[in-house]
Amino acid sequence: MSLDVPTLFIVSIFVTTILGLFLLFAWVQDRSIRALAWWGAAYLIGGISVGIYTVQDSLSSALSMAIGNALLFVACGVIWSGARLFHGREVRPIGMFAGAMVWLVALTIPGFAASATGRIVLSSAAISAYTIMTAFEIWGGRREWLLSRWPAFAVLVLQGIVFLSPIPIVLLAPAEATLAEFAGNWFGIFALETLLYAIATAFIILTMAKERSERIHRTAATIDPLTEIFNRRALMDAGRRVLGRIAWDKEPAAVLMFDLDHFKKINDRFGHAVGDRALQTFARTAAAKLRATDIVGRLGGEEFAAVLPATNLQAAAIAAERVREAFEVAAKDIDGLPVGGTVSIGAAATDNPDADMDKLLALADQALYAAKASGRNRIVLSGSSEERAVAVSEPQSAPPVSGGRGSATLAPNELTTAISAARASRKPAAEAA
Amino acid sequence: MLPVFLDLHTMFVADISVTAVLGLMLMFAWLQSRSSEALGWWGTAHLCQCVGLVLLVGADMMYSVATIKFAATLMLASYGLMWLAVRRFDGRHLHPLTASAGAMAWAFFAAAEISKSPLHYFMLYSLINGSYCLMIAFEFWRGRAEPLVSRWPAIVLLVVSGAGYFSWIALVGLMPSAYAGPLLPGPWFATVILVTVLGKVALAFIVLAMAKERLELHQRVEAMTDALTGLPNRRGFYRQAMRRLRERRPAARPAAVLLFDLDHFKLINDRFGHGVGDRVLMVFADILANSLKATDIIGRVGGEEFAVLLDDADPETGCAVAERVRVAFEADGAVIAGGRVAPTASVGVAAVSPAAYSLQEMLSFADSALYQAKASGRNCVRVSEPADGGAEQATMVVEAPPLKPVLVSSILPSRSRAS
Repeated sequence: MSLDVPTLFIVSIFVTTILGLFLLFAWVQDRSIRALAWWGAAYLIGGISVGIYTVQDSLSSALSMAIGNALLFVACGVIWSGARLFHGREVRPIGMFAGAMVWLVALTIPGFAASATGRIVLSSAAISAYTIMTAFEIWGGRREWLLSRWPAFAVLVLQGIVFLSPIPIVLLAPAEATLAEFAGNWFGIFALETLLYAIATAFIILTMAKERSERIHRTAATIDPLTEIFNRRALMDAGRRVLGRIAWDKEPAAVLMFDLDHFKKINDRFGHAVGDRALQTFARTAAAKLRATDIVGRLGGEEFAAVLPATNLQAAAIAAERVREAFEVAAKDIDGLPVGGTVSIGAAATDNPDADMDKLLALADQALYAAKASGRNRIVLSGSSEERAVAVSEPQSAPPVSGGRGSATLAPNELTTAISAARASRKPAAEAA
Repeated sequence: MLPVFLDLHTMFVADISVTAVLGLMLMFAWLQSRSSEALGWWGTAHLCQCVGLVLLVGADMMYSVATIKFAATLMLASYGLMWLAVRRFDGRHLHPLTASAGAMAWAFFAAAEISKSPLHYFMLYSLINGSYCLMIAFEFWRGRAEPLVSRWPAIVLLVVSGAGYFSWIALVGLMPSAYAGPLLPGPWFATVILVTVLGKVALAFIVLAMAKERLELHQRVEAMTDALTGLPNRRGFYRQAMRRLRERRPAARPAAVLLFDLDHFKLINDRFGHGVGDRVLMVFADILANSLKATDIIGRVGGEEFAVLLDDADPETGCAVAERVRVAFEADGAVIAGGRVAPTASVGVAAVSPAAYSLQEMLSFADSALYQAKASGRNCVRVSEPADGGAEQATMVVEAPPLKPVLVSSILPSRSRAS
């Protein structure tokens, strides 16, 4: 059972041309990924190279061999360049054309063109080198997480080894005559394998490029550009996922709500640039002081929130105090200006597996309101006596007062009292107005 | 000249292995993004087809007619799976009966030996296959409202394939002699296989591109949408407004920018909690979305700031629209939280010829007018016009606005209400 090589060549010509055109089409759709254009061009060049092989009977055999192989190496070089571009590295024209150059120079060496062994060894080495170099580029970019990077890397490395396989075979073959016979049997399988490799690679390339642009758009959709933490949408989604896990974790979940104190005044007095720096400082502080599994996001303006999985109200209060204290230190001076930024925090927790993120956030928000009303730069727990004191004594239309009223600041040693009070008086707080 | 070259046996091997690779690649793409279920269905179809092809080749070697019939059933079933994949892609009902009808009709025809003529089998197979191609193309076409570029090459490819099958039926029907005896006829058949292999590769690639395009589109839309109100966010508003102004630039008719700012929003948030603040924003966004034309461009451009671009609107129209929204908000806002909030909005309007000013400049004119509205007691509309209509002055807005705020008294009740 042997495969007909010209048939496979014809299939390859058409398939690589189609794939090349589609990769170019994908590039036209999304010009930002220029590598797609390079890869598409490489496929078209590869198709031409196979075409030259196919019609070599009607061309001078030596010429078609020279040009056909040179083009094939150029195609491999362009694929490698595309991989470099994809990872933001510059194209190296010398490296891109080196294979073709070496090949053309070697052909001028007397005897090389006539030696099948020499030609096969050089071609295999060149193609394999380009394939491995491409794999290396893909590997080098692994800090950018793309799932399709790994199959791309695996396929390229495997194919690099497959491309090398003719070398030991021809070197071990006793005579050129046996080689021809041998090649007749294996060349077909080799051609088929290469065709399948070309198809698989085109698919993986497209997947990788699309995966990247999807990730870029997703980042834009979920990350707040100023503070580089989650935006409202992403935080709410993450919060819903955490609440959905309560039943599974058998642990409560907590929400902290933060509001920077007197932010408008900071903006007015020191300018928007300093205000922005204060927001960034808070985002960094909160992310640093909370656990890696906690999720912080910016709800908008100077409001932030955090979702703390597997955390009860007491632990949430401790975490909140860590953030409050650290921010007070970090925002004392910003850019050398005595900004004196502080933050008020409301905390709420639930162990109800059917809890609703919006409701929990509203509870935390009520506690935050109490923290604001009772003097700012402090933490109030949802359902605590402080919160109720504020809720009772402050008619909802009264302006927020700052400072002065009963101490609800939770210094670490006061935490326990406040929390036991919170526990004792735990009632479902009324929904926000 | 091609049929002379092509070796049928090699073509079959190429077809089988290419189909398998395509199936595996699509399955991988599906594993990578599980939400694109259609990729999984399309991949399964390829694997099913691959099994059919292997059986077909094996049966041809063994001259087993029964196996050939079974293999053809599998091949037709794979087209049914592709049809399901597209329906899945566009979120329609799956209809397994329609999907398997072709394969079942064929199986019945073959099992009951309704005809002994291989020609009839070939025609029936082509008929069913061609019909599925057109059905799949139709499904792609039905989903065209979703702006995915890859839909169109897919439709073209499928219609061409379907037309190919039907013209082959017509050809053989008219000239039975064109069809030569054996089950797997002559060398020209290799060319047919080549064409189907290429079509398969192309279609699989397009399907993958389309599924990925949708994920990307979804993320892009999300990135330009405000999560709370569902309106375009600042980025989305700028993008849409710039495009609109660019497209209509030659027209000298003025365009109006309306800038809304909810009054004392910070106070509402502090006093009633963020839940109420969010309600207020949503009520306002609803009013904007419902009281403007679908072609007007709206967006939430800041915390409590909304912007509107009205195409082809002079200052009077701009103010009338602004006033309509302001009044509606005052009415609808009054019921929020039992009427204790009573939110209002101030509006700044700028209507100039977009040929002379950039979007940025228009927005800063509107911002100056908004400032005037705030200064004159909030809950009102103010309009600004460039002092001399010169572009040079407009750029000085930052230093000292060369703007002449005009009270459009006929439609603007001058009343202030600090909430």
